[in-house]
Amino acid sequence: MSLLELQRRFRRALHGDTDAMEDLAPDAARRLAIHKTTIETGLAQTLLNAFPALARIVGAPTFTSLSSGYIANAPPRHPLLSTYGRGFPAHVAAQPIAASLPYLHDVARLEWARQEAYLAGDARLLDAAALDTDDAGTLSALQLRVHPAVRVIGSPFPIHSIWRVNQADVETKDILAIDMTLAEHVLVTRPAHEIVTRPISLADATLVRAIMGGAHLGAAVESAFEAAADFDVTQALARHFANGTFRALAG
Amino acid sequence: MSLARACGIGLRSAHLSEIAAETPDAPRTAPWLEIHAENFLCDGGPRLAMLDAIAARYPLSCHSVALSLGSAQGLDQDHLERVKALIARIKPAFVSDHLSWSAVDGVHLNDLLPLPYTEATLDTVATNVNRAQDAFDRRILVENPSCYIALAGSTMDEPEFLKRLVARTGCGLLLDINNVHVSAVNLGFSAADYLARIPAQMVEEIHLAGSTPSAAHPDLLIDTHSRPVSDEVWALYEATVERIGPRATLIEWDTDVPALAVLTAEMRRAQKVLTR
Repeated sequence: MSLLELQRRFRRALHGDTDAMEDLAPDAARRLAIHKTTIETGLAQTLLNAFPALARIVGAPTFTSLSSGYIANAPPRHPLLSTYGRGFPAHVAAQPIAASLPYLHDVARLEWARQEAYLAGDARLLDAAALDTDDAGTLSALQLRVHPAVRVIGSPFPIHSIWRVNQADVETKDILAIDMTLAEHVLVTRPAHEIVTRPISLADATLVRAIMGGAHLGAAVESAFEAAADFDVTQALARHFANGTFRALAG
Repeated sequence: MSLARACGIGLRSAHLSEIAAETPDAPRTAPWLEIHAENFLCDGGPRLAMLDAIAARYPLSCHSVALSLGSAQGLDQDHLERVKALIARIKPAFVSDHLSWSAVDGVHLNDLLPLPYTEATLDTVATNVNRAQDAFDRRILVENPSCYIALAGSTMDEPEFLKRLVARTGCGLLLDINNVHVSAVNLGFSAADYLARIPAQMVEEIHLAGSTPSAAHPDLLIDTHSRPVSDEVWALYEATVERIGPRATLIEWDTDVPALAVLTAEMRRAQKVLTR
């Protein structure tokens, strides 16, 4: 048998085809189980590390069942485990539990956004002085760019509130106090290597998304006003500068 | 800088910020540190920033776990490029991975899987090792794996395979003495005989770690890296250093990682063996 055929059979055996290795090694089943356990434990821990709030919401037994299902259906396709879990939010959304906890998918998307933000590239941040001009035309034509770590997650549910009360350092899980009719949008940034996760208004989310899509500042602000006529653009931009949303114009 | 008489420790996430925050004039926690390359293959952010701070103060070794040097389908070019960029960034004293495989048909198995030791496997691994050495433009070290399964069809044993791999590619050996012990228990051979057959000049680095008997199958030993180095492994280490002379040695601890003080105590014990 070629080495390639052996590796293919080994892979099948690890993924549940218990007969695939029987003739290739003595005592194969229980010895393969050691590798199978190492692999599955490693992947389950990877998912738990990436989705801690989700795990707190559903509880350990349910999270284990969600992660086992994902691991069985979606083995890693990339050598870096830091990429493993990208499809987990969609997997969770397709499970029966998502019918009773419909916000799970968006909380999982938020946690994945934070994972991506943690590993994203570095860039110098834009100084507020860049907008320091009286020329409205110049301002309007400005093409801002977001920092590589920036992510915007929108949801019809109060996902920031739900995510926040499910942090390890929060004592009371007073999820009942959350107004479940609120739709929340969340901005993830990484100024000075710290992940910042904060709720923003729909108009602000629209602004950031427009800039991410390549719109000039004038057009982006216009689309934000279309989302909410009372949008306070000055205050929103000040907070973006404080939280490192935009990268320097050059370099 | 020669690390031949120095024992280092494996740098794990639990200790990253503590070591990165050391002031420039603080005593070093260890003479050198080994990283898992894959933990730092990201575009930027706090991990790489901490690694840069550590690289400025410590000699490093860059130990990969996912090159999959035993893959019949060859190496992943993108992964080679990523590791190459990390090597350029931290300028490590050693670059290494394992005599094992972990990828087939685009599926990645996050473990170090065994190979049958045949002429065909030797061709495959030698081709892959040469490709990695060409890509990195430097010699790499290949580590003997911990084995649980004796694959049918092997025509030579592991020491013989490693000797021929080194002769074919010019790579060095990262001799993991705990892995020899684990494989010896699991596959039923003598660890002392195995070690006695390893030519001294092949060995560039030594790994020491703890192992745990399998809960389900107490006759099998698992390479858990979750405990102190066992007495058996210390004895094998002392005999090996006695025979081949001192070599850069590393204490590995990957699961249930204890405080740095526990690791540095293990390190000092190895250091005594090296400086006898």
